[in-house]
Amino acid sequence: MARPETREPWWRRLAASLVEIDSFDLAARLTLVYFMVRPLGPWWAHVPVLLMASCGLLVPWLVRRAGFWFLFALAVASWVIPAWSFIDNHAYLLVYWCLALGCSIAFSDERGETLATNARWMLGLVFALAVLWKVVLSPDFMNGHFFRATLLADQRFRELSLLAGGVTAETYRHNVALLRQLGEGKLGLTAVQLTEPHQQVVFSYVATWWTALVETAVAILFLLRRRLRIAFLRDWMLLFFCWMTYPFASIAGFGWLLTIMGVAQLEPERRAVRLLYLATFGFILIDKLVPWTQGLVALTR
Amino acid sequence: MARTSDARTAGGAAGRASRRRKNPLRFLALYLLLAVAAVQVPLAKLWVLTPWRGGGFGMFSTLDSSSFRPVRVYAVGDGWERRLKLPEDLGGPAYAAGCLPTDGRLEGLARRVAARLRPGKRTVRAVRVEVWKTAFDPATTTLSVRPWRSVRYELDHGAP
Repeated sequence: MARPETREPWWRRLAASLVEIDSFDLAARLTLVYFMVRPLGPWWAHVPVLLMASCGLLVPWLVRRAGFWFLFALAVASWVIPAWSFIDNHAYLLVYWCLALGCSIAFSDERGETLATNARWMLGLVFALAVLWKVVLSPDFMNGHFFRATLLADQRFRELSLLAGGVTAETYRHNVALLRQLGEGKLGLTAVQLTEPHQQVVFSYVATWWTALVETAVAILFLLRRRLRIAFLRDWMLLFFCWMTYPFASIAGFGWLLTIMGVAQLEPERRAVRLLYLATFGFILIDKLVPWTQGLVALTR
Repeated sequence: MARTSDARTAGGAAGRASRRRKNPLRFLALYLLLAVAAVQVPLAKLWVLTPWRGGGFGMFSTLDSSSFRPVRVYAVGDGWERRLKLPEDLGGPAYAAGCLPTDGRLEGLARRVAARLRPGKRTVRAVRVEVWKTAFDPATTTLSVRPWRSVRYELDHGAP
């Protein structure tokens, strides 16, 4: 008598399928998803990119053609170059990444390994440059002034200020009203004194050192030789950075690129970490669409 | 003879494969990243580019960002001046002017503002564009602004 077929739950089969995809193909497909969900600059860059990304998802062999990725690089560069002085840094990173995908196919026999090396170095260099600016070149980061003023004045960090800084909604509104008056400059107003609770001052200094330490750790771990024992920590540190940063910073495009590069450089046998990278990619996507930090603020008030 | 030819062919293919493996162009993107960053650092430190922009990954490192570089526009006449509300469609150029406030870029913005001036009671002789800088005093928790760069664009015959 035949035994009834045991069926694995769907989520386990889904996870198994995701960990079996070739690293290069997965990174390439995630890049296409990125292009599908993220509006990209002016129409002359956005339209070709959207069409090519659709084709790449429908016709999988396209992602293994160098020319395909060079076209992406060209389209994104056509947006970045004229706007070089005011465009976000992740747009530059997107050009480099598409170029890396193309060059890994065109100039190497081992596209997966070459892309992994590109991704590892790119992550290491991006974080090293970020640390260079924060720790060495900037006059107002390590002394805490950047975080203090940003939490007071940059409304993108409103939820963080309310949740971690101990600022009340009324104080926040008061500060915003003062900043508006400063912006309008009526009656020659050139300075405003803002209200900053002690908790926010402390949090600003903690955030300053925390950011500097975590970014330095990510940079060092990604620039270390792959064979060193502690090198495996790089993925955990990058994931940690993403989970700590992207719920509060509205820079999803950068986060997606970091996770795609994380997937590309990961050793194929580290399946659980790959799933975590993919979960992080999804989390950043959801975080962009669902205002959960605002909900958290409402719950805690 | 044929065997030698096969060996040569195999050797040639192996050589090509080896050259391909070592092709430095496979890391072209990394060279480009480094080259752009090497240009961005002096542009931001020695010139007027905000460290947040230009491909050097200096975002979230300093208050010297475009949001802390407000751009103000004034209509200037004989013995008077009036601050103008920046037209919405000039938000992009004003933002670009804040990121890299060169004289050319500020003058370009002033020219575009001048082209949108509506006739009024007083004659406008010039349009002045200013980029301000914001400073934070941690002792008093005060944010203050001061004019930093400015360009005056003279209107040929004055705009009514």
